[in-house]
Amino acid sequence: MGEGESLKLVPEEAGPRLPPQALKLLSKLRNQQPLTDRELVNLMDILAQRATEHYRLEHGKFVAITFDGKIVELADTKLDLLRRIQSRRFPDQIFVWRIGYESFSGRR
Amino acid sequence: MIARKQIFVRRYSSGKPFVTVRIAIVNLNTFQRTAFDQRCWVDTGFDGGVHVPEFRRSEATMVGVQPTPATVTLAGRVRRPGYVCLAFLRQIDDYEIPPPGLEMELLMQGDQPWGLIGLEVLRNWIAEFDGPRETLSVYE
Repeated sequence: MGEGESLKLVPEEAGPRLPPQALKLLSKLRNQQPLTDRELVNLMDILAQRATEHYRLEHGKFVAITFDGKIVELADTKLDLLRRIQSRRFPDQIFVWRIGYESFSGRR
Repeated sequence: MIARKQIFVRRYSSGKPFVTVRIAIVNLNTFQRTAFDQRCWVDTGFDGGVHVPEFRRSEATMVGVQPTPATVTLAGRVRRPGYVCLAFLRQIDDYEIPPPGLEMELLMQGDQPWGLIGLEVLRNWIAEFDGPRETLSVYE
C-alpha cells in the first residue's frame, strides 16, 4: 500500500486466512489458557505476517492488529498510532506492530 | 556556532549513567492522570521511549488506560512480549519539562528494578557523555 493511499478498515471483513498453528494458539488464548512468552511472540509474528500480505502493507508503517489478523488502525509514526489507539475502545483485543520489523520496540 | 543551553548535568558511577525520570500517563478520554518516578539507565542501544518494569502496567490501568501488547527485542536479540502506551516525560533529574511534557512511547516489560531511556527521548536534546569524568550533560 503506497503513500497517500488509504486503507479501508472494514470490521466485518474476513481478514487473512490463518495457519493451523496460529488457530491452535488463538484457541488457547480464547479459552483463557496461558500462553508462554514464546507462544505469544510466535502468534503475533504469524498474525502480523499474514496481515501484512493480506492488506499489502507498506514497510515501516505502524499498525494495530486484532488477534484474528484484522488491521484496525494504521499510522506513519509510532506516536501517532499510540495516540489513536489510546483514545479509542476496541471490541477485540489488539496488539501493535511495525511492518517489516521483528519487534515494535527495542534493540535494532 | 549554535548556542546551547545545559538543562542538567549528572555524575554517575561504575560506568552506568542513571537518571530519575517522572512519567505521566493520561487517559485521553477522561483526562484522568497518574505519575510515577522511575530510575532509568540512559541506553543509546534502545530505540524506544522509556522502558519500565511490567508492574507499572497497574499505573496505566488505574486511570483506565489499557496498555497494548507488542513484541520487544532485548539485549542478545531475545524477543519477548511487552505492553506499550502513550505517556509523557515530565521530569528528567532536576529538569522539569514544560507541560504537558514530552510525548513518548512507554514500554512495560520485564522485572528488572530499573528502567531505560532510549533514543526516542534522547533525540530531543544533545546528550554528551564524558566517560573519564563519568558525567552526563544534556543540552537543548
